[in-house]
Amino acid sequence: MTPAACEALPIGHVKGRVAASALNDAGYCRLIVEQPEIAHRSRPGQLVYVACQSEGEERLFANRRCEPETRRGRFSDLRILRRPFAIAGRQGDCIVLLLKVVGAGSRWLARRREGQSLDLVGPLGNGFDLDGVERALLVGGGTGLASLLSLAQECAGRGVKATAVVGARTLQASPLPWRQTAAGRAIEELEAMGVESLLVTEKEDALLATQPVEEMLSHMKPGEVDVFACGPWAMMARVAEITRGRFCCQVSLEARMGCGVGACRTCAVPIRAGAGWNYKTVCRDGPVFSAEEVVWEKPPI
Amino acid sequence: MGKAPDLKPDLTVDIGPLRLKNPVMLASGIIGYGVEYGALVGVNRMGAIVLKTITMAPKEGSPPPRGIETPAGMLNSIGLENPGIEAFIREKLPDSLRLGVPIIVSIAGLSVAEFAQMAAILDREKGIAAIELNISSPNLPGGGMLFGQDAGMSAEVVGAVRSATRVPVIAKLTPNVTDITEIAVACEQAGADAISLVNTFSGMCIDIMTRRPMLGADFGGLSGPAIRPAAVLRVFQVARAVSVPVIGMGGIWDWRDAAEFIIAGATAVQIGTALFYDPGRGLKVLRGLKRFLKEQGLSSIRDLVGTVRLNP
Repeated sequence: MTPAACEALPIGHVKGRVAASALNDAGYCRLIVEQPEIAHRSRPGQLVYVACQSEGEERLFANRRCEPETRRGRFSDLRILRRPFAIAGRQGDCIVLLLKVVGAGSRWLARRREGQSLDLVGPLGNGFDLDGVERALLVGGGTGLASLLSLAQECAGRGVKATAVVGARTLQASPLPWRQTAAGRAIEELEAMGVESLLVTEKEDALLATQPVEEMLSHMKPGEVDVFACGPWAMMARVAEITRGRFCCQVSLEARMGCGVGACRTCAVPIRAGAGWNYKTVCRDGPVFSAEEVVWEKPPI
Repeated sequence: MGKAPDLKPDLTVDIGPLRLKNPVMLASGIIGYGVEYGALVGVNRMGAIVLKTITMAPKEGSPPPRGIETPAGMLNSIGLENPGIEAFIREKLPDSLRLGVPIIVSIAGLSVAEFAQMAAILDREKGIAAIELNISSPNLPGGGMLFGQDAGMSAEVVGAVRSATRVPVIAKLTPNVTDITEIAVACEQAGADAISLVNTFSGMCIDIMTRRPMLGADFGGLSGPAIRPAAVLRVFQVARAVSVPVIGMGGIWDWRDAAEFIIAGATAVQIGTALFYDPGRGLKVLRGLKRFLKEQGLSSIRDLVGTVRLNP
């Protein structure tokens, strides 16, 4: 699954410049970061590992000669781990990141403004393998939509016919227009790329994203389409079940990360090996795995 | 070298019989087998690197999640995932030894005999600079920290390894004890060439909504700047209690912290968690220490070791 060409790609520790940032009321942020090296070298599904504080803040937070409490931050505000994000697309020399503000790190990132600098390590991992793919069915939900968007872009560029199924919990839970949600924005972007897309919601449609996928695949000959999934574990596990033995399916997994290069083994996921299984890393061996090799019976807690 | 003190401070340090070109080492469990980071770290410019702990048999490690961020720290339980000593020697060690940096192999046994057996196996390999005894991992059920929490057992492990190998032996201590100096002295008397400390502090994080621990293994070890003052104190105490060199670690974030450990009594330091944030941090710490020595008018890093001036 891991293409040899990817293994050879050196991981860089580089600076990027924020070219544009848009944060909406729902807390979703679209960040365009100028970083030619990563933009030109990365593949859909790969990650960037982002330091979520400026050099100045880092020094201030870490400097034990400061008062424990300062104007700008406390020692305990030091964000000592980077945050991994899937590359959601490429625009010339820039990469696109889509993030939802969930904590201090993502909040800091969402507040970056045009011209500010970001400290990036990447690209991490293997990325999706599109070689020999003629037709692609993309299935996603939540933050998993980011990597599917860059995959859709790649499909469009290669002339691969792509169809997308986007799952969401509901369109009505928030007082905001649905286009401000992750799913709504994804649909908008997919349509702009000319990718035929279908939105299903658990509440209004009483459907899970996997149900229309099952329906679509039942009308297809085995191997007629390649399936790509990224989203909640249960969703990907179901897609793996539906496609097993009939369609090639690649999934992109998530895990809490440490080093980002496969050294510390923090981001372990259970992957089949021979008759048994062992842990592989999301950051280096993944994040993309063949759905058949993932041990779906062992969900992360 | 060393003849022009104003221009180029002497950074060499001796860890027992092992001479290092500088005191900045990379800690076990952070740097993997030395090759994973590629060119990001500049491993060959470090004083030494300590490879990820190996055990006799392969270990699959803890169930995920294995690591989470905490205030100024990280709680982890990797569970010593490793391919076992045989596969390590066959598949990992040759590449590590080609990196052009002293390689320290970290081992953890389930018994005194197993520690000695592993040391004997490693003794047959050429090019290993030292063996670090992980008698302090909070993440090895039925072993690891249990040895390091008892002076008698610590001494037994060190003694058995000492007689099984010619390479320098470093005992890595856990801070999860009542009196760490008692353990350090026992290790020194049993023949350890150096003492390294601290391993992680035992810790736990609970999700209050699900009431479940946030690590797959329930408990883990805390590292990062959060533990630094606690680590500095233990290094200070141990350095006063033993005459062998002390290698200090625990939350070193930048060169100032490295200097702090050295002033407390450490001959060398190890950088751990900070490398996750900045793979180039080892080089930066090294540069910062050089600059500091010049500013302080010191010709050798050794002139800084243990120079803390306690308040009258």
